[in-house]
Amino acid sequence: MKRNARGAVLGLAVVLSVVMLILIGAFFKLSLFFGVADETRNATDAGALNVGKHTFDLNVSASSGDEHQFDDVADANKKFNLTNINRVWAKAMLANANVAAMIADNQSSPLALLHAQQLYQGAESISGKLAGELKKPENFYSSFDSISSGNNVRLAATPTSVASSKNKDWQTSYVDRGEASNIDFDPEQLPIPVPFTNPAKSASFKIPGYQAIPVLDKKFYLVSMKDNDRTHLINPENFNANKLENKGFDGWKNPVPNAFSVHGESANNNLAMSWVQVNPQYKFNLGIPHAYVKIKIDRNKARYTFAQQPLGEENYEFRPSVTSTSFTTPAQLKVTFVPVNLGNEYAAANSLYDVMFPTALNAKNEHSKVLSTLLQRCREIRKGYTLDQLVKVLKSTAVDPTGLQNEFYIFPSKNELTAALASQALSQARWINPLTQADGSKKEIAHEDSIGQPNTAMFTVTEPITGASIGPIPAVTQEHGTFNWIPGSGFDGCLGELSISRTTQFPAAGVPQPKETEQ
Amino acid sequence: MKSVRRDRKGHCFIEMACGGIMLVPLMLFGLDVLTISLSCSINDHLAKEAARVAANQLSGGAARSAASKVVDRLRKSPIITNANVNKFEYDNKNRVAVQTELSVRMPAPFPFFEGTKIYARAVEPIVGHPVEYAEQMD
Repeated sequence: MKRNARGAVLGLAVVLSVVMLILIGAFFKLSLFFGVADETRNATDAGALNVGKHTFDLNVSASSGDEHQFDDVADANKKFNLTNINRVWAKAMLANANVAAMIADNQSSPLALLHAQQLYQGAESISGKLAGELKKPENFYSSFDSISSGNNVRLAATPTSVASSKNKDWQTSYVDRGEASNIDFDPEQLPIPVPFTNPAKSASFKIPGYQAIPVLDKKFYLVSMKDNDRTHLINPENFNANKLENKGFDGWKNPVPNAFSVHGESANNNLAMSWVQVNPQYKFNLGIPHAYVKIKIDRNKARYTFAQQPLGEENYEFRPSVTSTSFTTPAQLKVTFVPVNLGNEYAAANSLYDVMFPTALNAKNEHSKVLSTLLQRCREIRKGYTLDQLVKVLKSTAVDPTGLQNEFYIFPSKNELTAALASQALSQARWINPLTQADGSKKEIAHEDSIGQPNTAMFTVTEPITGASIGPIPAVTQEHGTFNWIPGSGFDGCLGELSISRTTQFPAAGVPQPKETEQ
Repeated sequence: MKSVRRDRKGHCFIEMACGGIMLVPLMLFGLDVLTISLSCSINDHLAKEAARVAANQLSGGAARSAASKVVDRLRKSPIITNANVNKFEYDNKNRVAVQTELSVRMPAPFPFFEGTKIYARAVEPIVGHPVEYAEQMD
């Protein structure tokens, strides 16, 4: 008996229709599933970017004395954050470089070494506090949620949004090692060469980030924040390769991160992760903003001698004067100096510059050494400061011709450097502590020697009993000036103290001759 | 008496045709579902990319222009006939929200369902601006 084949195709068509309906349904479900995962990931990416953006809002404050050394590199609210943490480390590095230069020049002292250590510890303490806050995920949940909540997961069974996954798996990393930090510098700011490599592709000099900078016996690290870069997402391979457990820092116990991982989840338990690298797009110049150099000009001395034996001393002013004086030697000779022309080196002096570097003394080479020392220190306050600017400032500063007020400060004021008498400087720059002294040790860095000029005198030697005398004879005057420099590390803002002292010696000698009598 | 038998020729063809009346619309429906699903995915990515690009700009005008350029770059076809930025919100220095609209024409149009508009929205934080940093004055 043959089977009836009628209706077989129709049956097959029905079965195929059912299968097709099931397949269409399955495909639809699958596309919803992947769509939800996609939407969760997109929302998490957006949340990650917002977290990265708001890492710069996390602040810490200075609490100890050493930390307060960095008040001048804090922001206007006296806070430290990811934007300015590199300023802290850069200042500490510069101060330590100052001490390293002192050692090289035999001008160091135990106090300078102590100050270098204190500044390092202060920087490490602030940096450690900031790193601690940046590693707490609870500081970022609200930043994540405020953006991710705007990205709805519409394809979920019940439309929902993505929220931060509140777990401890949010991690940190330290990427772009060896790339630029956000600190520009000029090699002429440094008192000695500091060993680090200028980052490649850097148009200007930049201190590198996440690269050990050895100064004295310490290692300094800044955070990498490249130029022309923004807060952006990064791939997990790069993130994980630069995590602390995979690549540590020699000598930095609690480094400040520049990359963060975030976790997001939607209400139907879809999880996603994202990784973000941060950049404030804000840079600074290397420097110690609140720092100063002190200049002390000792009162000029006129020293009188007879036969190389001292007769007496007197001070003279920073302007020409004519005087006279007389002394009695132990042998009862009367030595009279008249006229004594003093202060001639200051004949053309109208300013602090003229008093510091009188041209009449013909010591241009020596003076340039002093200017060079002062200029290097000024550059530590203001990057790019020029010799012309320094000379202009010194030439625009008035002096007290009596020499009674003889201390000056070079200090920053309204984005420029200025020089002023101590009393004016202390009222303008209230952060200067007048009791602070430079912590290095004193050394002569330049001198002046002039014979026969510019100060002159005539002397007469008289034997009062017999009336014998000799003179008037011009004294072979000798003027000697010294420039002593005490370097400062920058602790309490003091970058150094320059003291200038000048002595004009009037030597007299001779044996009085009896007067010829008339016949 | 002569028996009358029905002609069996062509019964498969008729069955095929009947079956096809069920199968073909289902296949076409499946094609439309696939089109909508893929279009949704494309639109989601488009909105996200437009928002991301806008978030990197420095002003609202530049952000809107950048978002529009991203959307305009999408290749049009007989299926995706039009794409544009439907809504744009720029919260200065905080966030940008972009809603894109995609006009999709069904490859197998049904009566009263020849095409549709699909919407997608993406919100991104604005990261184009430098940090607002308060410097100390001397």
